Amino acid sequence: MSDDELTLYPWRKKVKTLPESFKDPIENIIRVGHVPKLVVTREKVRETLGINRKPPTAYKHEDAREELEKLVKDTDLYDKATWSDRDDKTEDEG
Amino acid sequence: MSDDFLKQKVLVYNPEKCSGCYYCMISCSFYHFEEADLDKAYIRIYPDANDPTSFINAHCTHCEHPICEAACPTEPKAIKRDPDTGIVTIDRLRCIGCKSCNFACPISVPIFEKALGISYKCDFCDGDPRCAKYCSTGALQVVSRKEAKETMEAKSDE
Amino acid sequence: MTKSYALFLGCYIPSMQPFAEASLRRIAPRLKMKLIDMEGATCCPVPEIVRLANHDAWLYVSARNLALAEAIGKDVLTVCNGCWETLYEARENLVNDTQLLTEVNSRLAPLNKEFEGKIKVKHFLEVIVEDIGLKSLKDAFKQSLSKVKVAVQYGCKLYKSPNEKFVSYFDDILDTLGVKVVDYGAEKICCGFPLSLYSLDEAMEERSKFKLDKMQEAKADCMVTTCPGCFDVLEKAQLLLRREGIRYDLPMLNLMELMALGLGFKPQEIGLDKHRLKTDSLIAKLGLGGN
Repeated sequence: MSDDELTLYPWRKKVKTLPESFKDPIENIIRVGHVPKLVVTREKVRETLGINRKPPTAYKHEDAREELEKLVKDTDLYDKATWSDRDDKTEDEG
Repeated sequence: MSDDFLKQKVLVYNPEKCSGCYYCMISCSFYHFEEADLDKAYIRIYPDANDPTSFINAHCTHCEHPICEAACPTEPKAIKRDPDTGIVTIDRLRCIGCKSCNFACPISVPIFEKALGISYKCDFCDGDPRCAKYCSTGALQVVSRKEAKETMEAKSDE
Repeated sequence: MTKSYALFLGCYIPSMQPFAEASLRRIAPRLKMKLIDMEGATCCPVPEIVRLANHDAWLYVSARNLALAEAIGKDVLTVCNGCWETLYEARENLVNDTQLLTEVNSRLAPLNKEFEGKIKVKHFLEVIVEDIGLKSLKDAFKQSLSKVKVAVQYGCKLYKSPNEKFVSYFDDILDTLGVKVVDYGAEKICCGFPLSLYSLDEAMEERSKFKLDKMQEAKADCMVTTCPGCFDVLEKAQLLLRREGIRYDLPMLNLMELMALGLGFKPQEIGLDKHRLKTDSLIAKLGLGGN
């Protein structure tokens, strides 16, 4: 969408949020480092199978998740992803 | 056909490789509207009515002499073909939403968008079509018109 | 000779499908593979969502993962079709564009990480066929799997490999394992994951259910895949379709689980009983009920 078009027709705005189906996975990636959360029952299953209770990924290493967050914060993905949790729903609605 | 014309890029679709994931449509609608909405995609994939395990598609071929451009009644034309790249686009500021192009195109590529009151069509994503770039199986590819012609001729000889 | 790899687990295998990870860790020594964990790896990130939402974010995060493997100094072993696509394509983008590589490395520098493009990204199928060899797999083979009929779910990305070689590798491995592969005619069709980004109902009805019906008609005992995404979707679809009174008996197996069974591991050792769908009938069919 060109700048001319936006000036002439301000109602033709670009959508500022992500599609609904994108929100949860992206928020999880930023908050957990992975798409699914690791629930306690699965940790127990891992243990019974003889593998480490926590996988050696961001599930175990909080600093890895922090590094990912730093990288994502450099892009506008971060703002879009955390939109649903902000207290500015009123602005969204009207 | 001139050499310059044959060098221009177009999309080719290989139904034998298509898995029907529709990701091309999702990436298209996201690129243009930031939505994951099949109805807003500039490219269309449909299940083949005769064989449900196969798919067929409809995408803009950016014709040498676009019938949509010819049908466009505005002056100057809202639909224009770039002579260098061969890309046919609708200028959304000039489009009056008369739908002439929708009916003129033999494969109904231009689609009327109710919310904006204008028609839209494939703009080749400024030379880097997202549908082909992100195609899950490689069924959609960007090739030169020459390669596309040869591929299609080879297919029709089979 | 033992071959070493930097193991990239991805998201779904460690958190939702630990039985696949357990299978891999058990079969690796038998196939003379040494797996070095990529400590602190994150989501690849998922190509269908993150790459589309923000290409830069996708590239930075995948470059960080590639840098972790490069610090280990071994090629990356991916056990997920999506992770393979992301890491393979991110690597291709970076090694073929010096300017882009410099720009991405400037983002990684504050994290004390760097990617130079020295390592390669390999899919599990590629490693088994090209590095380990089907002969080694055959030599390690112990338990006959000939009683079971499997329906293969390749997953879209395998068709993207050069000359679709991963698809034939999959067939070759199944052939070596001696399982009966049913021809259900919809192998190529997508599981429905990308379509679920638009509409879950449509994805379930038009893709997952379509495939499951075809597999059932072909009298398959189970499905086998290398894609944790397809695994999740086709398992979830069966559970969701039960609400509509449609019931299938098609447990999903990761190829690594099938290989572990072939290599003589007991179903309980690799957690075949920990699936969301019941696997009792499959275990009975394999003649492995006694554990």
